[in-house]
Amino acid sequence: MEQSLALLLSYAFVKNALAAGIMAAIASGIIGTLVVVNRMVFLAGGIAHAAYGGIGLAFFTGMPVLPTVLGFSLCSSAAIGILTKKRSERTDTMIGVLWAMGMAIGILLIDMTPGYNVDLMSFLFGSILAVSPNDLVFMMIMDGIVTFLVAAFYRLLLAYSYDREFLAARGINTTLVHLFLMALVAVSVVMTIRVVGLVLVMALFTMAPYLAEKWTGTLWSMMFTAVILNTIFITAGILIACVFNLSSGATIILVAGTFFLLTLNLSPGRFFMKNP
Amino acid sequence: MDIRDVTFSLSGNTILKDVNITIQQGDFVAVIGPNGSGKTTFLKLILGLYRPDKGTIRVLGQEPNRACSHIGYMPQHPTGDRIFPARVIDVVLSGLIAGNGLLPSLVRVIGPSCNNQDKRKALECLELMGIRGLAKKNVGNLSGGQLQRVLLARALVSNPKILLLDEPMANIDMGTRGILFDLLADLNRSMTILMVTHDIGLISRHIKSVLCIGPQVFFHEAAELTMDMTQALGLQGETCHMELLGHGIPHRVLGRHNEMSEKRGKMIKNRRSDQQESKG
Repeated sequence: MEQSLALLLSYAFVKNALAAGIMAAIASGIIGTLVVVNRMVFLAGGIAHAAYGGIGLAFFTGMPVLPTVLGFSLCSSAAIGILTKKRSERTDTMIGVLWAMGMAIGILLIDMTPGYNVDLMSFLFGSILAVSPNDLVFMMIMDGIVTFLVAAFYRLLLAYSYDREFLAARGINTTLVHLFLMALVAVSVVMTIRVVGLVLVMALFTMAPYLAEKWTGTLWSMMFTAVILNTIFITAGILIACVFNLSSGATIILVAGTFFLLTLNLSPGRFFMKNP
Repeated sequence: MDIRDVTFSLSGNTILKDVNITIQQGDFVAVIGPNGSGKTTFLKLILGLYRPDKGTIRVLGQEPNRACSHIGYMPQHPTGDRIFPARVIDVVLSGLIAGNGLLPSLVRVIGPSCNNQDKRKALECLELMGIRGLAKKNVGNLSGGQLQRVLLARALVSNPKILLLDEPMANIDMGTRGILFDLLADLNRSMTILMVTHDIGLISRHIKSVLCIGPQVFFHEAAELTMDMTQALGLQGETCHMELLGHGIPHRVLGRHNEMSEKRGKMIKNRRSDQQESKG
């Protein structure tokens, strides 16, 4: 077993996969935390699925995939952000509309693209083994930007997440903060698509932050813990996928899900509280 | 420094109609009125969270959302027993964030942690509220009353010129209420205070004027209720106004107060206590 692990790690594609996995873990841990505390899981799911339109666009025009998807996702997240802000009582309906429309656009564009793209499945369910050095550079830059922005605006994001009305009462345009947060979600979703695919993205954005929240008391420690957990899930998932020749997206999610269900009750803070 | 409200009404249901109020600097106003009468809406208009359909609001001579960095606001329904990963001091510090109606002033926001001077300010405010010991606790683990005091500290930390409090005493025990009222009276020397309250009995000796928001709005630059107000509150003239007294000194006898109404008042009280007994 040790030998086979060492052998695996000697392959460049496995190294690339692990590097991409760790970078996806950083983005999804940090932004997933903000998604969970702001109760915008469905919203993030909408952005992730609408990104399929971006993949269709990239295939149709022959442009590089990740930057194209990023551009498309930023636009769709802005659209969702503006629509949900105006009709806040029907937020989930608006998300449902854009979720489906994004995917439909993607399907149409791929229909119109000559030839059949086998690679398509890898964007839906993740294919970490196809990570190119270019992808790695792109992900590293995006990771840097996301981490820097969250660190720089940490207090603003904290105040927004805790009580956005109060923030508005302090003279801050909360719509802008909302759109800023949505853009961060879009960037992180695009980074994670390579690793687990857009259908499974939400697992990394929800499970680790949820567990982290139960074990920690501050936003930054929740982010940090979520990043560590996602790194463990993704690394273990990739290695299992390589050893048994399985889809990395599915193994990552199942590792995370199993861990999630097993540890659901192991929260030091709330363990002794009586159940409602 | 004054709040100069002219006229406004609010979209959908007309909540406030043709209101004309001027509140002077240094005032301590109790805002009263029945459920859904628009007390909270009134505060939000001053904060610039809502815009009036017509008329203008000037706070400190400026547009509300320009002046709002000078306003300390304590919302009514605290984000309650909600689990949230933040310490009490983080929440209080968020009261220092200020903007000009669009973007935050970057000094207060950039960087992951606050400077020590801000932290000291936040701790002083918690000290004032008597909950300095909770500074490092998680906000999700507080009781309703504790959380309310945290939110009061958050409203105070920016040392505002105007303090808008939406039912600040709702979950706070009687002993602490007295302390907080004295504290507010102290703060009133440097701040104008508007306080929404349901409990007319809470109108203590510190309050300088009363604003009653019913279907109509009455503003009295004296700490007393009038017949107009009690009627607007849905209390008919027959109700004993003794029930509405603030127990400050001097006693304020409000409106008409004759023997007949006093008897009725007692009857109502007796009936209430009977009901409570039968329930028990």
